[in-house]
Amino acid sequence: MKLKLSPHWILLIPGMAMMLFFFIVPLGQIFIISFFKSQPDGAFTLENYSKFLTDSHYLKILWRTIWIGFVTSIVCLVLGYFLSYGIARAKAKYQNFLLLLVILPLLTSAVVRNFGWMVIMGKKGLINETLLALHIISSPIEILYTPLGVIIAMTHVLLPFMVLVLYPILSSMDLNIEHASENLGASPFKTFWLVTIPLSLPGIFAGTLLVFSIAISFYITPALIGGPKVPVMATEIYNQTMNLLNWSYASSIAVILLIAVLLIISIYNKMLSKVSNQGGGL
Amino acid sequence: MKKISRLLMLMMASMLILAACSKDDKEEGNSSNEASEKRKLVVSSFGGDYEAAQMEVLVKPFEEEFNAEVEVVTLYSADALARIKAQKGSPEIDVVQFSGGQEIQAINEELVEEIDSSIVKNISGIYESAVLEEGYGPAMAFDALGILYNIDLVKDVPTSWKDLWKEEYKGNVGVIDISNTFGLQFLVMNALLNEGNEDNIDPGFSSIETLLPHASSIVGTTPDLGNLFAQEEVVIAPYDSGYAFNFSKQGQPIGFSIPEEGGMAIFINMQVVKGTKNSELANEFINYSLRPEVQKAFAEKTGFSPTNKDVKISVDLAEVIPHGEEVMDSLIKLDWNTINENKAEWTERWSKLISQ
Amino acid sequence: MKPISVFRIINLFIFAFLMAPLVIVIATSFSNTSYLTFPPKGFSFKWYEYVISDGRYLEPLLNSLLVAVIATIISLIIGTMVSIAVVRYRFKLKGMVNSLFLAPLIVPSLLLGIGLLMFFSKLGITDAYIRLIAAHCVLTIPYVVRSVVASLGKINPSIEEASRILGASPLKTVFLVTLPLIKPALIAGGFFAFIISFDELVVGLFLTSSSVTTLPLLIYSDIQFNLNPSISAISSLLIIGTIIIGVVGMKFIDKKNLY
Repeated sequence: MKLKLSPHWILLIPGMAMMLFFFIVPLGQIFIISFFKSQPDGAFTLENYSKFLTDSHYLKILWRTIWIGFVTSIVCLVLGYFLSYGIARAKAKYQNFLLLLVILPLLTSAVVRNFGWMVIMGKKGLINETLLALHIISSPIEILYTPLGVIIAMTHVLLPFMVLVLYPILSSMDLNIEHASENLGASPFKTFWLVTIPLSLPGIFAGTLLVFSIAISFYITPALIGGPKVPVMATEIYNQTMNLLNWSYASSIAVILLIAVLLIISIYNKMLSKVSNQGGGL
Repeated sequence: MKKISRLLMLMMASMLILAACSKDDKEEGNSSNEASEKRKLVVSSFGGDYEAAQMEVLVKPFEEEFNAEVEVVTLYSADALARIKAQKGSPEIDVVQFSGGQEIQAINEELVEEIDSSIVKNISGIYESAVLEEGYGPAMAFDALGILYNIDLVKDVPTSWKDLWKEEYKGNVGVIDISNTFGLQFLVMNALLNEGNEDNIDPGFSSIETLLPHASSIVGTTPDLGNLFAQEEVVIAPYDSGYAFNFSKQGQPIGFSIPEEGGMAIFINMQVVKGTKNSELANEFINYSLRPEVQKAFAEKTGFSPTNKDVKISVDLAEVIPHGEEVMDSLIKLDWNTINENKAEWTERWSKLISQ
Repeated sequence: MKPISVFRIINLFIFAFLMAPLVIVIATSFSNTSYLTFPPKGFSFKWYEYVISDGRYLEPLLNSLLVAVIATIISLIIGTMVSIAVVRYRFKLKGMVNSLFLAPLIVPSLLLGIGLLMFFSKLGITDAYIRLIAAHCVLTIPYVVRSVVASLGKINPSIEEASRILGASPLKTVFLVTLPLIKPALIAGGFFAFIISFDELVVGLFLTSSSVTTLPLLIYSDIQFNLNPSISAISSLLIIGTIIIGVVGMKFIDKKNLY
């Protein structure tokens, strides 16, 4: 007997099987308990969801998570574009080495890396000491254990991801197109804005999506740099799961996060496809 | 790009070969072990120097005496608790170790089982108050929650919990987060100091609120606190004597004192995981951990005090750690059942209090 | 000032930002003290000696490498297949497939770890390698998919069509036309997969066994009871090792290319 499968499903089968067994089923059994009370004999309830959605404290945590992710994505995009563009336009023999330097931050253990940040951003840290010595500030400013600190440290870890997405796109871009634009009299800035950026739009989309997705579910950096004063969804989920053993509530928080983020991403997706269509029309 | 892809392949190939070799080695090791048919036991421990000490004074001698193979898996209390909960009914861990308080959660969630009193006979030799929950694993070591301070920067030895509020330390106090057991205990301590208790926690929260302006930061974890002490951003904080011993052994200028209002007891204990297939050996292991000579050796290495009446620790150690039945009985013991009942509510309240 | 030099200066600052915490980490690894401190007090190589001579880091390191390499290979294959399906074919539920292969990035891995442990326990799968590789594949496939989809989207399908018109089978077209064109994205995706797996801690917390542990987990479990500069030394060794392997590898390949 021959079963006719369309080619896309053949391509998808291994991936879908992997996701089914090692993602959907394991997470499914966790998500299901979000609809039950945390006690072993728990009955069906929507309490976990209503508790989160009606308490401004938790909504604030969701909001904080999203805007920290948003700002981190934007900063990563700007810095990452500079870096990728610079590396892609550097001499060919230096490109690999520069890429290697970019990924180094990912090789340090999160704990020591964050110790490095503590030294830099702490009240007696390098930034504060420098600013104090230069008389720019009169008393230490707080960076560590604030959302700003989290954004800085998170940008640092996620920047390599942005570069690794943008660089292939920018490096494979046909330089002749840029040259053509310049030969036709466009300024370098205009060329960059009207030619380079639109052509790299898929990379911008993929990179921001990637960084945003990792940022909003990131645990270690917010936990160590933000500390208990800057709770985000991932640290809240950790706390509920590990310290309070309230897995029902923890999984309802995760479901809410997942839905919120997929919503944001689909809106972003729609917006971007509009923009890129217009860009293509120019 | 061609270059880098070849480079990548080269790296991967060499790593694969390396890794494959290492795996072969291990398999050989395993097969030789299987031949001797040793009984196997999986025990959790806390890593670092603590685990190293336990390996040396407890695990190794136990293996020899009982012809057993003990595998140690490194898990902090909360991680261990979550792990045995996820594996409820078919545990991979036989004996779980808690740093204090989690055993009540474990008992309530039916994750651990009662010890076999016909095997754990050494329980008769330990202090009465070291038996935490009747029928379950007793404390195998204890230490005290008191005040940790930088001996170079804190001139007068702190004598009272109130010293944390002193003007001179303003901005350099480490307030411990409630997600950390020591932070939770400190919150209850604040309630007790202000005519409250586990059932009436409000005074504790108002007291902490007045300490927050003095805080350098809200500290979540031990390594964080260690780093903050090392960078001198924190000079004084409520924490336990075990870590004080650990930090000062590493060469940090750190001292410890028990305030006159009383310190709080912290009991390290081991429990038999419910559903273990090695119940007998697990009980033997717990029994072994209560032996005087094991407890003495462990205390000398880690600074966690013995709970066995027959242990006499060295004079040097006696100077730096709280020890003995008298001290232990003077330490304030918490009503963990009430605490665990209220923990979720307190955590939420705490989080609202401190988050920006 | 020329725009090019302004551009260079900005990039120099970004590189400085990337390197700053690493410089501090490397500096602390030479400290003579038994705790992390900056500026380091004294100067010694003792933490490097300790890490190298102690040997207990070797096996977890090799475990991490093994798991990372296998997870990378699997996720490169599966991820590329998924990407081709998503970009080159129109089908119903495409949006859902897309979201599914993004979801592992969004769901906090703590819950995935617990879910997987419950799942594996029920099936009686206790081998830590299998558990870790399966989990890491789920975590790394989205990275491969993201970077390959972005790159495939840029390639004009008519190039592939041309190959097919000239008589190449679809499979041949993929290997001879498509894959070479998306090579940079495959390399980027492979890097992601490798690094994510190599650095993964939270899922490992639940899926390792008493006999198999990984390097990030060993570091994590060391910090509670002896947070000392040995951790900086390991990180520094990883940094230096990566640079050396990278530079030597590039030289090696350069020479080969001469022939």
